[in-house]
Amino acid sequence: MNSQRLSDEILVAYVDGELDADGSKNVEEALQNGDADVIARVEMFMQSRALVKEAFATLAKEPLPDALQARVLDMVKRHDEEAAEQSGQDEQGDKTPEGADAVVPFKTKEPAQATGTSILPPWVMPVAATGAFLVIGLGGYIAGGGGQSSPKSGLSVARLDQPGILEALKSVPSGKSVLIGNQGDRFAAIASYRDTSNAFCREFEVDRSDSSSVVAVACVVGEAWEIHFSVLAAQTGEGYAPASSLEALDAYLVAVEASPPLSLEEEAIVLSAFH
Amino acid sequence: MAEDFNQRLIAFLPNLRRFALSLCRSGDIADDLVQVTCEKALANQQKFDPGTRLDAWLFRILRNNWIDRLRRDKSRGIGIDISDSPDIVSVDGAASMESRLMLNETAQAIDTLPEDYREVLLLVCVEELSYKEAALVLDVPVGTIMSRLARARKKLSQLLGIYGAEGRSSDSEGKLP
Repeated sequence: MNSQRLSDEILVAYVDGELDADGSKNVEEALQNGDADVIARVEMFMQSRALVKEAFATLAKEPLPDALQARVLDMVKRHDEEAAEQSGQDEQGDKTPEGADAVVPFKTKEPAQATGTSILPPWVMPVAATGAFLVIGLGGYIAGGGGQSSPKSGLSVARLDQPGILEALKSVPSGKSVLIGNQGDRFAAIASYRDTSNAFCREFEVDRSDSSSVVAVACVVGEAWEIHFSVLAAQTGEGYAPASSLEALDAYLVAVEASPPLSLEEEAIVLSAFH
Repeated sequence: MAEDFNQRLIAFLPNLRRFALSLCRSGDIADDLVQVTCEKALANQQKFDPGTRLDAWLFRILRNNWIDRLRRDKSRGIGIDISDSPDIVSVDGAASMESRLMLNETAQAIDTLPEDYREVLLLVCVEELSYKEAALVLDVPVGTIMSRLARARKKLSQLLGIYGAEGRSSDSEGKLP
């Protein structure tokens, strides 16, 4: 058997026990026939596996930092309490344990749907309630595409009506930023992904000279770009949206079941189609 | 069931931190990544399919966070004018970070490998995920897992001098860095 036909991929899979019976048989034949090349490579893959494991084992012995452990335990506890509170409310308190008043300093939260903002997905509520920033627009348009102007209102609401945004959306790769307009506003492309309807969407930030920041998601719908999510955040002084506004974004991405970010290569292919 | 989930999550913290370290090579950032991962895991508990592996699910959340963070950090560079945007040399944040892997020769060699290689080595050789599970975590086909593993281990062996610098290569893509 010609060992050239046994690729590195096949041999590594053999070593890792991932090869099917037929494939394994071929490798074992070559080993039994004393094929020096196959033997050397199989040994190399076995040895490297063991070495990697050993190297990381040192890392595993490093104890978990106390602070991290404490934070996570606390988080789990809070999560449980909130869940308990939730179910307590659902059941009209009929399983409120004795002494529950000792554990319920929580403010009663109105369910999001009951507040008259039912157009907004539920994730908007807890975030907006913090007052740290404002959800400023859902479903706006960005003028462009065929040159016909789209309704202005959505754009102004989202505060994304300045020139240059559309060009930036179509051209700036994730991880890069550019200046747009003539006010010194900065557009930063964060990531691209596809939503459940497979629409191409881009997450970006616009940092304004007036020290406000907009974190937004725009998706291509038909020929036009639509703003599907945006929050206006006060800048932290470092010129970037504070982390709290990103929680809203995360919640949004979960809600629309966004794909993991596209790789830069995948993104480049889509962007090149706009030109 | 929620309790079971919590316990498993807590028990898995050291593994999550190790994966985070292998990605970002900085203790502080790793801790942060682990924390955010736990937050998301708790918030999305219902989305976890109990028929699948919790470890793979958690690794995936952590890695997506890392990618997100990397892009966010990179975009904090100095703005340039769109009209004359030349290719910007991207800043490799990881390179300047303190290295936590410099423990022995192998660790040092692993540290020089690209992130694509490091993460697959950790998931398969250390965490012992199957190729299929690793593919799920990294969101690539199983074939990519195989080729990355083969190249990563070959490269590592060459760096450590335990395998010829240019063995007979079946590496058709020839993309070794």
